[in-house]
Amino acid sequence: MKRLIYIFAALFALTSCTIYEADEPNPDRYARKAYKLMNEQITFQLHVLSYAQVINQYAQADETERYAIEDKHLPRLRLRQTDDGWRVMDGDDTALYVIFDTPLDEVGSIWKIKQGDGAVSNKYWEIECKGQNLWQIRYASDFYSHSVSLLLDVETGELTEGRLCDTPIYEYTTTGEGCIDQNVEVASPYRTEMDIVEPVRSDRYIYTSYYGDQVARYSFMEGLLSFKVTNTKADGSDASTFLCKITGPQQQKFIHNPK
Amino acid sequence: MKRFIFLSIALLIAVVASAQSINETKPLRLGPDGYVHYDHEIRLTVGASPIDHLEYGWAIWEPNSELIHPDDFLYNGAYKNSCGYALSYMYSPRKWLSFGLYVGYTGWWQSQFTNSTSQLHSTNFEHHIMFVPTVRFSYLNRRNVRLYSSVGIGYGLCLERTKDSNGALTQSYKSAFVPVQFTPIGVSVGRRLYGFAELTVGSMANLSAGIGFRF
Repeated sequence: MKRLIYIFAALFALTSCTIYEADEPNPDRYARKAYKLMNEQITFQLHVLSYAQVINQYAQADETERYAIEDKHLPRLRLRQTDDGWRVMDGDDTALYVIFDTPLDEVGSIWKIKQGDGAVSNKYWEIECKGQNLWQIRYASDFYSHSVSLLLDVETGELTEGRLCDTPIYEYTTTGEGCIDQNVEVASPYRTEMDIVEPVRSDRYIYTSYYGDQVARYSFMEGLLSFKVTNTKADGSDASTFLCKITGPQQQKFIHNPK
Repeated sequence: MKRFIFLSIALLIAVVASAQSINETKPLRLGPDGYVHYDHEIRLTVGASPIDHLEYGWAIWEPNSELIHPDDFLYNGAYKNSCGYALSYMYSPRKWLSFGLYVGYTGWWQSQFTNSTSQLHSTNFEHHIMFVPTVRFSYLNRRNVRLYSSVGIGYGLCLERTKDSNGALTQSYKSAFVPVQFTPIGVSVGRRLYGFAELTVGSMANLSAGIGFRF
């Protein structure tokens, strides 16, 4: 009998295996997503603003200057003037529709912009000139999985060496706010609200890739953003807040539950 | 749960073993080697690393979406398995052939914790109960040592449950599955009371050992 007990005890020692060890906590995971979502929306608006500035130059240029603008900024694209505005053509497809009556750099001028064929959202948004090199972007759009609204004040800086077809081509300083509402029908019910606490400066930068190549990118370089992420189906008591401090190109530091 | 199973099986074996001390009127069968051949046997098996769920546990993956998901606020605790336990009965009409049934259990569990506070958020449990008819072929039969292979396929019931941090049940799901157990090689040592070890693959275990009793 004693031997039997010893055998059982030995077998019992085999039990309760850990198949995988626990993960490490990652409090930045949702914050990184929220920041990425908002970063993409703001960068897209800055890119469109760059297009608008080039179209503005092109519309006011003579024939010789237009050739120069095409060679420098639009090697793969074409600008076509229509009855109600301008189109940015990428092959046979329209990338952007632009409607305006007055030059973009005239204070009070409002340009209406819409994404081209194939875009999910089909609404115009506005860019208004608020001063010298200063514009306000008012954007609201609905996509399949989420809706976005942005109110940004953007100051233009120096022209960069970037290509318009790839990235914004000016250095910008941005303030404002934004909101992304996820569609509860097809996604989790979260709202991300963002407020730019310290102006966000964005610019082109060069880095050395893993293979030793010099690669150019466009990124936020400095600034401070405040985020609040709320579950819209809960009572709001579990809202998560954090600050995102931009410490360099593609570098952020997240500060959770700031006081 | 584990202790309850262990105690129940231990008591069952003790009862069966003690019952053999009563006067036996049935004549003992002798095998060709002159030693006693026992027709019946029961076994208690403990096995490690069942083949099911050897993947990644419950998926708090980073969800495959750019939008924010509830799992973004959680992280996984250790993914644990209870190991497999089985009680089996086999009948041997011949020395080289046995067939019978094993009733097995194995369980998995994993907790999720909140990223911000590391507090318990929920725990997922999965219990598998299996009824597996089995056939065993012994190709080496000595007085104290046997080598064998076996195969079984049967019916299994899977119960998945999720409990929140207060222990309240938030989700419950049942399903059936087909458990399979294949033992390419096993060895038993002993005559009436014996120990055994198996290299096996299947729903119950990938490596198992245990004790048995022949009567």
